[in-house]
Amino acid sequence: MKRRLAALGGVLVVLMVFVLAARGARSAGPPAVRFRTVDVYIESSRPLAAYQVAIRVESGDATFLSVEGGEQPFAEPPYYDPAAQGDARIVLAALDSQRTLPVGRHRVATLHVREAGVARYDIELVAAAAADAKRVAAHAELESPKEAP
Amino acid sequence: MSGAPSTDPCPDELTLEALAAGQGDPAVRAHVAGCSACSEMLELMAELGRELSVSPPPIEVPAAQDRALRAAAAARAAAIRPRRTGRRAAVVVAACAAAVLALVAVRGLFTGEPPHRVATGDIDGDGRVDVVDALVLARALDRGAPMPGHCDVDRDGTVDRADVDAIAGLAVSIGPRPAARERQQ
Repeated sequence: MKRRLAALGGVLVVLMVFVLAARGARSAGPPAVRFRTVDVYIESSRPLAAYQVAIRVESGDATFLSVEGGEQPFAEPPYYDPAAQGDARIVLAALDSQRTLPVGRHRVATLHVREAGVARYDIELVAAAAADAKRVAAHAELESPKEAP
Repeated sequence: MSGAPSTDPCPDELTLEALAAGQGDPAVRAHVAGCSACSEMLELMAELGRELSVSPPPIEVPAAQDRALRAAAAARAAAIRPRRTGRRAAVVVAACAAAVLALVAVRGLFTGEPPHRVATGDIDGDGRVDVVDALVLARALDRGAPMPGHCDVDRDGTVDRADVDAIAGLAVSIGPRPAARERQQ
């Protein structure tokens, strides 16, 4: 009887070790993958007729999946290299020789990204021009849209 | 000169030197023959000439001093040699650079290529291709302005909206741009 109890206790201990090991392995696995959007904003003191920005993944595991447009006149998806899909860097550009973006801060595009864990991005304004094709000073930044509750 | 029985005036020293060298006027020579002062002066000049024509005896340098001088000269030559080598190398490098430049210039002459080339799509000529180039072309198309040949970026024979798209495509490219996509300015 004592032997059976000892054997049963041993089996239980082994099972507990396996369960704990499995839970530990699961928690130490790859971070959860999520898909989200990142908005591209440009602020200019003059009406914008064209912009070009370069965005890259500064840290973390993330790739760009697709791009959509922003506010008028940049509602259409901007120019980008299809090779940037699945890459960690992308260059966006858009222009409109007929209309301009009003002065102020406006969303010009939205990026769809795939992230595995926490990722950080860096944006650089390559060029911005007014309707007369003269270069203007502007500021570009990225912002994550607030998720619906 | 004085005290000479000759009534002719005594010649100057240059004339006497010429006479001592075997030249001179016969009249001067006749005067000197009759003038004790001029004869004495001529004899002095001849003696001085003989003394100057004799080479001086060789100077004996002590062996120890000779060795010291040779060692000092060798040390100085060794110190100078690297600088000469560097100067020579600089001359060789400069000659090679000049040869390369000449080859490039000659090649340009034969191929007819101008030395300055501008990347395709650089419409505003600022040395880079970005969305502003596309905007400049789009505005020109809107105005119906005449289009220079280098605006035909897609090389389809016409300058239109497709060229604006092509320039924007070049601007957002994340890969290396093909080297063949260049135009002559």
